[in-house]
Amino acid sequence: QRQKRKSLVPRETQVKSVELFSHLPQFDHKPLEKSFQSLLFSGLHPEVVKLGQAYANLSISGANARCLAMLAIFKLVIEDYNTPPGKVLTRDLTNHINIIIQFLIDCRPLAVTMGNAIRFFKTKIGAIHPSTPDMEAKKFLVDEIDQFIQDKILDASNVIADVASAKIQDGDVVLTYAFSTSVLRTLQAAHERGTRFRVIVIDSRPHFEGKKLVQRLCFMGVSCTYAYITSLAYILPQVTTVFLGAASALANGTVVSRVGTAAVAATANAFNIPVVVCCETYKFSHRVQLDAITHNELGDPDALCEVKNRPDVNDLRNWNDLQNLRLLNLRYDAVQDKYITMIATEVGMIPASSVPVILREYNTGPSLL
Amino acid sequence: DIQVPFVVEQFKQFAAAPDANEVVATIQALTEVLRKSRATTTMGVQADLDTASSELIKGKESSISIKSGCELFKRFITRMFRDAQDFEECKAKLIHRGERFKKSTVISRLKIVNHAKPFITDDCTILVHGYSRVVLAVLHNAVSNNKRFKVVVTESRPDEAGIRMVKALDDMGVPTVFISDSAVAHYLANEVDVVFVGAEAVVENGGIVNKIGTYQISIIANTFNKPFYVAAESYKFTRIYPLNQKDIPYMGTKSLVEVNSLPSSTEVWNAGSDFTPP
Repeated sequence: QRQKRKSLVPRETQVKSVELFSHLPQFDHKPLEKSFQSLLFSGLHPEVVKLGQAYANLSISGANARCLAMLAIFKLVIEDYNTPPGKVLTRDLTNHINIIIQFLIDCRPLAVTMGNAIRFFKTKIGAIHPSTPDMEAKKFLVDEIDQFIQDKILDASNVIADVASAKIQDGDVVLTYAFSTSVLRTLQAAHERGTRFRVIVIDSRPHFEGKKLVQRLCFMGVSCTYAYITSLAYILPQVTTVFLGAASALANGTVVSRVGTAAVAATANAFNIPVVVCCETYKFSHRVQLDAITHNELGDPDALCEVKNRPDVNDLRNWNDLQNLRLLNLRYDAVQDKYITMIATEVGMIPASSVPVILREYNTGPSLL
Repeated sequence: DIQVPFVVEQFKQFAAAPDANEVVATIQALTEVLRKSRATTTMGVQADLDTASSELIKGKESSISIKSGCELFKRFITRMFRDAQDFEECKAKLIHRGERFKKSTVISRLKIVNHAKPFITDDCTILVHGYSRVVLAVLHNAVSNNKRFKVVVTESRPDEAGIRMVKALDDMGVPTVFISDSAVAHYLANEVDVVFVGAEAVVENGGIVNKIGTYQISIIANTFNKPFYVAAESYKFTRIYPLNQKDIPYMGTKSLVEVNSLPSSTEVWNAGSDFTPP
């Protein structure tokens, strides 16, 4: 029986929850702000607390960004770490890291990328011989993390960009949704090749992540159109290919991504438009999911009531008092494998059904993950 | 470099042989390059082969079979050299293997024919499209096993593939029916039990590239819940991954119409192959 880890951030009692999603951790932002001060004094590295805050208020968001930030913090923690006398580095450091991870989970549930990176990191800690001096052990761990970042995230992104940008031809109209670093890299690679294409960015509330993408693309000189998700069916007839990012790819070929992605993929499918998902292999997970209900993350319901710079739009401000009203702000979406034409990974272009094959290779190959 | 036109010459020679397949001819041509190569290191040999491959691919208007043949040979070489110790011994082994490749294709065809046996039942009606030697081998084997069946052959315009198929089947003594390409749905609905086709290439997501018209027939067969079987050797597997019909290299075919029967300003679309997704 797994012992439930003691939560570092005390949670208040249940706010109104939607029944279908009552099995998921409910969103509860306020306790975090209250307890930040006490956490700083409890011995948690201040950078860790800052990171937790950044996760909670979504200033660091996205599978790659969150993982990179977490690994940077791990490196910092390792550098500042010294094995206390009488203790073994492997066990003590692992305990230390576990506390940090628990805190990060309390701020915001782990992304699959973070989970995979943590598993990798713990394996590396476990591989250290007890007699290794601290300096050497720390250098080893920092090097391993750097190697992981370089191979699995940065280089992988470049390979995916090469692979996927080959599928963009002159005259193409590419549609994408929200903001994905892999898709951005791919479009950049295609642009650098000299391909003439234009991009339509679809965006949605409450976060409008697509605006970031449009900014970056325009800066590169790619011609862009920006549209809201409700106009999807109107826009799609002009589109030749759809490129989507992923938060993770599951063992049954389902791709988990920002909420709204499934709508884009399904509609594109109805118009017979190929859907390409750009996904690094470190995002692959053994989990199997048939829908977006069993596993998901609940965001801030208040975000649905507010519109930035529009204080006059406040009809829902009393939603909490209305007995029959629940607000649901889901963060993730599950795209079924039948809607995905191809997943571009750093090991090549694969159909969604081949995700378990890659996972199996990683399990048997000692040098991978 | 004298080897550059040499490989294209060799390829043409091998491809001109009766019953030749482009993938096999590519591998045979590359074996000859390997034999003639004066390189003494792995890197040298690979460089020679890379030059030869790009000449082949450049020459023949990006045929999928040629590309996949080159990739297959390259992978083969890399693996052999990685595992081997002595360069000369390895090179000799590779040349020997390359020469035997053509023979091994006969064996692969026999294996396919064996696997396909249970799918042809007595009194079944089989629809075929395009001219495929693998399918012919399968049907020939069925005849030798005294199975009774009838074959419906599509015209497979515009390059008379259907007519060649009918002639070959007639030589085997199989009752054949010749239909036009547009009549496929009409006959598949009731008369035909199963569809057999070959493949020019098998692509990475499990789909196939084959004679134009294959995709249509597969959709119709799917609608009527008739089994659609593809017989293809494993050397036809390639690493291309088409997203849609446009994404395969364009391979034109014999002219679609008589030269003067259309107004001169008419565009004629005449793709030779289409892509059937899994």
